[in-house]
Amino acid sequence: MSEYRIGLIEFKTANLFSIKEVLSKIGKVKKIDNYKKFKNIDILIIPGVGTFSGAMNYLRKYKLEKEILKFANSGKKVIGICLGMQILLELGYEIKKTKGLALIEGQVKEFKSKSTNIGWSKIKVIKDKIKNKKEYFYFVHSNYCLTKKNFVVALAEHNGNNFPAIIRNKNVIGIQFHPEKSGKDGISFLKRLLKR
Amino acid sequence: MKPLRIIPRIDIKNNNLIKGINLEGLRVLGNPYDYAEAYFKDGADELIFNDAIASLYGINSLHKIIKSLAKNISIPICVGGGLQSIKDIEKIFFSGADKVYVNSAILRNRFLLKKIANHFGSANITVCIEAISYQNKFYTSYLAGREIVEINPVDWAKFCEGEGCGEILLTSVENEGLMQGTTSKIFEKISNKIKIPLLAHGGFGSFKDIYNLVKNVDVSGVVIASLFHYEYVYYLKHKKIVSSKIGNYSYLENIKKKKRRNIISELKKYLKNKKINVRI
Repeated sequence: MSEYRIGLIEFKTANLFSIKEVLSKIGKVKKIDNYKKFKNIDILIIPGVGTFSGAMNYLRKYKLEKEILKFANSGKKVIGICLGMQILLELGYEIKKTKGLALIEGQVKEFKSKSTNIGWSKIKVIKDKIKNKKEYFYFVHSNYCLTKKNFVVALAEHNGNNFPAIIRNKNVIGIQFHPEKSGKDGISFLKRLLKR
Repeated sequence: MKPLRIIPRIDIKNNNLIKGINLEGLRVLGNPYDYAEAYFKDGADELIFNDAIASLYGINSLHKIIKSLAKNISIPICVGGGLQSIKDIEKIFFSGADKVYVNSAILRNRFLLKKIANHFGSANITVCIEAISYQNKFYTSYLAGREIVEINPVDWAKFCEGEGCGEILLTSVENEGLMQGTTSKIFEKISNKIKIPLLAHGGFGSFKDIYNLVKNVDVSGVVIASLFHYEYVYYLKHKKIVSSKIGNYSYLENIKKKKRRNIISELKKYLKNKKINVRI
């Protein structure tokens, strides 16, 4: 493959600017704002700022949900970042109970302590061959993914409790932190993830 | 425990980086791009950008600056100053901000915060609280300390947490810009009352000032302007100023160049030696 063709789902509430900048250093980025734009894409990125219900409503309104599922079922790589990771699961409760993309079993829950997780953390890789270089990554979220252990690739810690930092079901990958905001470590992580 | 976030704060007026005392008396110190880039390279954990006069006029004009910064800086950027509506915030997010903070808008309209938090998600919305004390009583202020309302900052922080904000940025207005240390009392009171992260701002003049606060009070980050700016100004001063028409330039014209010192890395080393967890 000469150049990666990366599709980036465009949410109206998200800061797509930074992720797009970083991705364009790795491949050719195509913004996806309607269901006809899924052709000629090798990797799909679902970014995220906003709420679970807001994001899912958006995907349904613009008929993007079906296309995402089709893309995922074709076996090509789908990567969800932060909220984009959370909507990969079956159910979310933010604002109101909403069904997710259901590409990975599980639900999205609010931290019991009701405290936002904002800041830099190291992750603990428990599965897969992602190199654990003891890098710091930047997290900013108040909900986390509750899923089966066999989907969890790496864990991070908030208020003494572990939660999934990376999850994976075959070709579908979710990342809770923001690699595009984690300095040099984040960018090299993203490169490794996209190219493996 | 997560590492303590070291967050430089960049105040902007007429496209220049400025610094005042008690949020007033603004002095031009240089080009915000140069400082932001230098701080990023020096190991800052996040950057805060404040449109220093926006709330007076009700417009935040940082889009352009944020857009070009976000291209080269891959750490989180938090933007505030004069953000009044969902539309204002949307525009800032599109320009490349990762978090925004609000202050005057939500003091004017108590229903707005919940709306904003529900729309953008709690984690991305920070509330800035300006705390000011008078005769041993604390008040909340806005418009850079100009307007004072009779609300206790502790109650206000608790209210904002309940409405769904993800983080509190607390400025101790009477300490701000003086570089003589900060009053830990108000930070302590608020940190005891809320579960969301608290950022402390206002008055840090030395490494020791920072250590003295963080060893006693559970803060998630420290927000620093003068201490960093007045170190970097020595070798960033020769760089081009953005607009050289308006503002107080006399300080900048009269300083000499000095040898570069990586003050953020040094601060982190200092804190690490004191057993404070930092990202190095």
